[in-house]
Amino acid sequence: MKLKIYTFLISALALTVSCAKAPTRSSKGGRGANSEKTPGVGPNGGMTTDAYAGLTCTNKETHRGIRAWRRLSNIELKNTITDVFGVKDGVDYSSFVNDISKSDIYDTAMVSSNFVSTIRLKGYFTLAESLATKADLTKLFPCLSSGKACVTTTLKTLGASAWRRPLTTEELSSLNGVYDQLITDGYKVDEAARLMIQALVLSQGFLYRSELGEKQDDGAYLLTDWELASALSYATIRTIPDAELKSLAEKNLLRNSDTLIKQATRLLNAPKAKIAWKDFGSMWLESSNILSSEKKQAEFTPAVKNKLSEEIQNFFVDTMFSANKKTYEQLLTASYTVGDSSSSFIYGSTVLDGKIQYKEIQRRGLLGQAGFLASAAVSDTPNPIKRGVFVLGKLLCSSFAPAPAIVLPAPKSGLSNKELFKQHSQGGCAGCHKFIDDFGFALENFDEIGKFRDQDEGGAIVINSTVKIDDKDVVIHSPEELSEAIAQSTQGLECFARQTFRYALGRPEYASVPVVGGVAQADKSTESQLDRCQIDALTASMKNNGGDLKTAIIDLVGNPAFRLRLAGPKN
Amino acid sequence: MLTRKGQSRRQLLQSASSALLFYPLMRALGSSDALAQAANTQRVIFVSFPSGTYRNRFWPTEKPTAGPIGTLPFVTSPLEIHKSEMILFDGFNLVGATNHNGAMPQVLAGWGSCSVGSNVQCGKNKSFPKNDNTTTENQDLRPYSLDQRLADRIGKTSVRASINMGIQTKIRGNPFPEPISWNAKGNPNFPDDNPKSTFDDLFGKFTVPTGGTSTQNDAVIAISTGKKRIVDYLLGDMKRIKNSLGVHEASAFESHVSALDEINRDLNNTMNPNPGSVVTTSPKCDPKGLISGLFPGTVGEWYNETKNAPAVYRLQRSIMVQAMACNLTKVGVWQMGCSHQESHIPAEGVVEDPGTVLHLLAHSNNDFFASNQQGMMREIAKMVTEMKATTLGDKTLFDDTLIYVATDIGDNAGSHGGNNIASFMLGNLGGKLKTGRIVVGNKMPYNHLLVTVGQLMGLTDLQYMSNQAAVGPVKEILG
Repeated sequence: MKLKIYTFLISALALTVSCAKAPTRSSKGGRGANSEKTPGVGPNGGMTTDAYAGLTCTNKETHRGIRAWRRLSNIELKNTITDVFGVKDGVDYSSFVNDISKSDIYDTAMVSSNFVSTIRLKGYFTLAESLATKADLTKLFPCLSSGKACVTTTLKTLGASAWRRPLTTEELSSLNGVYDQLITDGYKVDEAARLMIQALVLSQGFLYRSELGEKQDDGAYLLTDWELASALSYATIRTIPDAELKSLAEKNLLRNSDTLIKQATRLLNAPKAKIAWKDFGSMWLESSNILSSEKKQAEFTPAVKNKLSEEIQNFFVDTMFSANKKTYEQLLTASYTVGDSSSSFIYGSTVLDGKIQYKEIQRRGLLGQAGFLASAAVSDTPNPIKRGVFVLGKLLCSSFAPAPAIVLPAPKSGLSNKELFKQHSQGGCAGCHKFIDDFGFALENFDEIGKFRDQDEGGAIVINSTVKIDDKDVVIHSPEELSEAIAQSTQGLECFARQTFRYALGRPEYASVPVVGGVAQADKSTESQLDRCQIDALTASMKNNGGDLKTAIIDLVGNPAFRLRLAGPKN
Repeated sequence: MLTRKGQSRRQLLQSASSALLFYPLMRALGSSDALAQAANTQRVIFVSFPSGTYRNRFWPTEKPTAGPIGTLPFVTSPLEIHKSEMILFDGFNLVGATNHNGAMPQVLAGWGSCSVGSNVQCGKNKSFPKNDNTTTENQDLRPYSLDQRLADRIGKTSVRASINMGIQTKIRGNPFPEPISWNAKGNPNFPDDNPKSTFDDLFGKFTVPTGGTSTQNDAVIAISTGKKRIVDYLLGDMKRIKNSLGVHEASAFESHVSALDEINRDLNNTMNPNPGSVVTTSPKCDPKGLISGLFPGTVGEWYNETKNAPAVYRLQRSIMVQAMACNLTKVGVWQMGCSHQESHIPAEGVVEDPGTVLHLLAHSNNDFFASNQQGMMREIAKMVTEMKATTLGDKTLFDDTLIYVATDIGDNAGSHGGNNIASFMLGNLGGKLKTGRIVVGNKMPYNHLLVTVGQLMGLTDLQYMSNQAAVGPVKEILG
């Protein structure tokens, strides 16, 4: 009991917010956490309000995107190295700096923590050295012994493969100049060729994806076919365009919605798509959180934690690609998860065909998974605040005001977990915690490792939460009612559309999100209006398609905003 | 041609492995018999520890009291053996941004800009002119931290202008993965969390070849040529893309170019030792001693695993001392976690609560949090002990080194505020400083401490740090 009180105290302190307001919509802006919402732009950067008069939200043809120049994430970069150079073993990625993925951004996001800093660049140099050492020159430079003409030809083809587009004359000339200089310096041709491999992979042409486009008569920038091939390929399978995409790009056939949608659909059926979207599921649902979670139960071993983490990813991929119902609703309300018997001490269920059938009616979909339930808990009790924050942040796309200085009431012994946590939802803390904690209280039927329970501290667990979804108060009496309420909500569906947007476009949206304890702000900037319209369109498409999960990414690449950028370097 | 003494580049390459492209240590070793002694040998190490502290466990007195340092309480007790060389600060407040998402640029830059409409929490310092600033009033547009100011000044001729290491600063769960170091363009200068990577970058992966100093120098220059050609190409490559980019890409572009510039600067320093300078190394410059058996892992993110945290502290501490002993740099940064640390980062001897991450622990004045903080102070104390045992010329490393330690949140960690930032200095700069005492700030802006450290390290023209209304050093320290 002593530990329980202690963990309550620190958990309660962990997310105290002083607001006295209901969740409101707030635009992102400013510094610190909020600068992460404003990719590459300072507080005063970006476009001015109403910079694009042509936008009609309900008319998709008027939608435009924000221009981008995107660093390949570590995973994308590894995939690219493997697919371009055919080298998997011996390449040194050990000095790579983590891509930060957190509440509302993905490893693809161009936010300051993911920029190329000195330490990240040094990691790239280490990679380039090792790749150049391991590369098979007989394959990459097959005619090396025949002289400079061969080098020029090879740089042209290898460069095009590495940079996912043909090289310009100037670029080729520049690379040839480096090679010539190396030979003048005294390097042997094979040494110079290996250094040229380094130059190719350390170039911004390799490390970044250009989505800059070409200026059109109406002032917008239309992405080139090659840019679109890459954008589409990385958004769906996280690696370089395949032969069919390259062929279409070469023939200038990619700059229209129909072809992009057709190609996206094709790529999503490729085996690589499941691997790619497993990454998405892992980042969205923070499946790695469970790996650092410590419990008192001896069965809760590192191997089990790994399984629980994989379970979250596999369930998401199974639902998106293989389940009978490949829908958002299924994610929330499925009566099973995907896993094996290693977690039977939690679920108490049998495993059939790789699926763990949930034993209790209360346990449903994502919110019934032990990986989530146990990671949103401390070592000996569930943590309703963490569970509430997960639901609000990940499934409903809300954000939170920072915690202020608050003197908390001292905890008392002999209380249930819910009663303990309720103590701090009084007075000044209540303003926000009444919107957070009730989500967590609705999951009190699951203990600190996610095992079902109907008693706590000798008393029956009674669930009677009032949560705000779609700006309405919803009364919840059981965990499955919470899953069902989210599954049926527009806010939930919109949140999935937002997550897809963030992942595939490599940036957080400018459009406002509900903020627990925040100040209401309208989507005034051009960027936020553009993003708002696109997210609304994605949500509507998903809704029209029965909540089909793939629809979000397919609709996103078909939207004109995917191929038309509003602003160029001068505007 | 960049080769010297009539040797062909090919001949030079034959005398040294091409794998030695990145071998800055050779520069230091090879130059030790070079030219005259440089005048300024001072070094500085900045250390940060996360999430504030609690008064009763950090300061020896209940209320701020100037004068000799009494018996240090639990958290700072490991520093007891070094307190005669310590100046402990009490009562210096942040101005402007505080909290996890606001205070990290305060630690070494004093930058507390609070954008209107943002979620950054801004404190109110009643003793400060225009003290209700919850705006960007008086603040520089961007942070430029003291370590980088010094790197740009005294680090110019070092093999590495500065080195920057961190403990789990980039784990995926940290909501605010901000560094304490920011370069002149206001870009974040992230620490390296992987000691093996830092080691390889500083000391190389291979055995120093034999063949005499001048041969080594020539080999270094020769084998660096290829890298130099590539870096020159990459700088041109970036210039070519610049004009195509718009406002949304500007920060990313600047960050990349800054990184290239820094690598280029280090490379130039390696290839073109500053005429008139000599790099003296300590007899204890022996980085090879760090290699054998000390790295607990090399696969994946071993350095982010809780079980390896004590080893990471130990390694980074030793790398810092070795980098100074081998005279590779004069400016070091050691960032022990982030403000909102969502993991366990126990140093050796720490009593852990395995179910509760450091950030959660920080929210109450409990034994687990205190033990974590004490562990960090113990690491600092051990670093000082190692530096005192390392001679360089006729002095110890510690004699000419100033160590500045600070956190990001005030003396009531659970409150997230910026009042009374726990901070102290170790070192007397060869007797220049009166140490062994507590200096009381009486709510003075924290920025003055940074100005003081900057001036002590030779930035005599430094008048303010980020906040133009907090001018001048803390004279009591200088006196």
